[in-house]
Amino acid sequence: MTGAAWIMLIATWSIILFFTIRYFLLVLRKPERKDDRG
Amino acid sequence: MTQTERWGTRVGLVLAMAGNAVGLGNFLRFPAQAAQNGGGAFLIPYLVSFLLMGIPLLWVEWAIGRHGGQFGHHSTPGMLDRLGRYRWLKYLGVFGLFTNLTVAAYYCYIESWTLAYVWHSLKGTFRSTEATEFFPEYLGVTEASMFALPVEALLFFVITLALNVWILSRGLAKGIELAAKIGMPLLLLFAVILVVRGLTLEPGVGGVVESPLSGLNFVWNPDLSGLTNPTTWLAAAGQIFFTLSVGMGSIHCYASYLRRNDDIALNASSAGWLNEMVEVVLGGSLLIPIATAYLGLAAVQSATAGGSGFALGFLTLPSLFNHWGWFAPIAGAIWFGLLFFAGITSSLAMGQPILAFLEDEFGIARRKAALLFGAVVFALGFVCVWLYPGGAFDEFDFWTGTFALVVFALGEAFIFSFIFGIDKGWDEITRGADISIPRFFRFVIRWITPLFILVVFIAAMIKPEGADWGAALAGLTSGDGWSFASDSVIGKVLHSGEGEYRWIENGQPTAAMIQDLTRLLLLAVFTVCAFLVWLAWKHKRERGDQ
Repeated sequence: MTGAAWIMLIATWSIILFFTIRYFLLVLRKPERKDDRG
Repeated sequence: MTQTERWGTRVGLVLAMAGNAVGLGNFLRFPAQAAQNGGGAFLIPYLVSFLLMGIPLLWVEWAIGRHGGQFGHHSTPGMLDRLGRYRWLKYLGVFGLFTNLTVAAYYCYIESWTLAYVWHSLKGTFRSTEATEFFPEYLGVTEASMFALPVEALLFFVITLALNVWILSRGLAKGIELAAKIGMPLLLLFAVILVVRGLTLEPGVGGVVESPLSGLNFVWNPDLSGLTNPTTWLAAAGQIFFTLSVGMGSIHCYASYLRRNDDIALNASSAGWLNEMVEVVLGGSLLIPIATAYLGLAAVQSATAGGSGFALGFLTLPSLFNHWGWFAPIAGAIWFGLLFFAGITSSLAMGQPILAFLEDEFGIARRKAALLFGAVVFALGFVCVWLYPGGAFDEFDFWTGTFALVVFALGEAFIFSFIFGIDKGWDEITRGADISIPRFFRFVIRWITPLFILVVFIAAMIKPEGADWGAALAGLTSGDGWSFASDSVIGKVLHSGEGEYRWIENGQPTAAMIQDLTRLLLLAVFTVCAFLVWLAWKHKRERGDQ
């Protein structure tokens, strides 16, 4: 692997894993709304 | 009735939506597209397209779906009808029925291949038979007649379809949601096992000829000149568009089972990013590194030259697993098992809008609707199975799985911004949101996203030969004319690159005849869907519902 390839891989994986984990944890933590019937 | 149906849990909804998006393309198409379009540099336009087209379009589709669900509509004709006062809106929504029905037909066939491969991997077929021999025989391509029926392929297609119908008939929470809750974690587990095994292969040991990291380098090494090449940008926008399963009507349908004030901003973002994680982190680290380890980089570069890893996945990998000794049958079953889970979570999402339409607009009970869906998909899928050698399958894939999606997405993006109105649209997206969406996206949704899709649409219409836009433009200005690619819309219509156009040759039907008849069949399916919408609204008017 070239240095440039490693940089692209690490940068992209970091961005994607950060948002994936952050949003999925928020989904797990935020309570579901049961109060209105729509 | 569907009005009382709801998702069981929030995480179930997100997994079902992510499962809808995660498909075979995440593992087979993405790595080849990235490697062939600038490597690591491809990821820059890819992520830009995700932020400016992918995520906004997800929000738009979730918003249209949740809005339509408040009026008891769970399929796109009714949803679009509620976005404005024009009568034609519901007919654009016909795409949301037509596409799901026809894509399900050929997609369930692909899904059945993965099931057959799981079976044959466990049975040890690929120890004695090369997949390159097995697959054409399985598809019936090696038969002398174009009309020979591949019995085993048909059998696996029926099993796959029956499984889909059974899960759909169980309902939203007990069927689709449960399947996603089982399928998605298994898919992730299988992918992680193969990624770890693949990336730890050592050169010189057990038939490994090159480091798998050379394959990873092939996917990630950035060619920055690609950033100024329109082909790279179009490939990236196209990949984002097709990986998210937008433009189908399935996202709308799933979102329509939300309550009025349920969040869509966070749920949509979570499902979208989950799809990206599976595609980029896992999909990008699996197929090409393993294939490179055993075949060498040059062979892999050649196999992925067309921008698809399909041949590697189905023709090469099963035989390469033989190097893994006792683990070979399990590795084969894991690889095709993960593709199967990726497939079934998507095909279920294609079935639900059809069931919902039959339930909402015609009052048909769910089980009966599931059987009806199964019967129609079987009839259409049979054409793909039977006439695969003649090109019927490819026609389905192109007109329904590519062209119709872009047309519908383009239409809904304009309707949402300019007929429903961006003010109401923005309120719809942000109501009940559990994350704050930067206001900048209001501008993006109104102008940038439709423009992005328009560019993808125009590119699909006039894509030049070899996807070389620079050469095509040069040809146009030098008087040589524009050379349409055989997989552009215009190229397809004109049967470009297929030799002399004839329906009968030496007394036998030609592939051109089968392609044209398949197109007529698809047109007939669209017309029937449109007629059903017309009939449903006629009944509504008679009942005074409209």
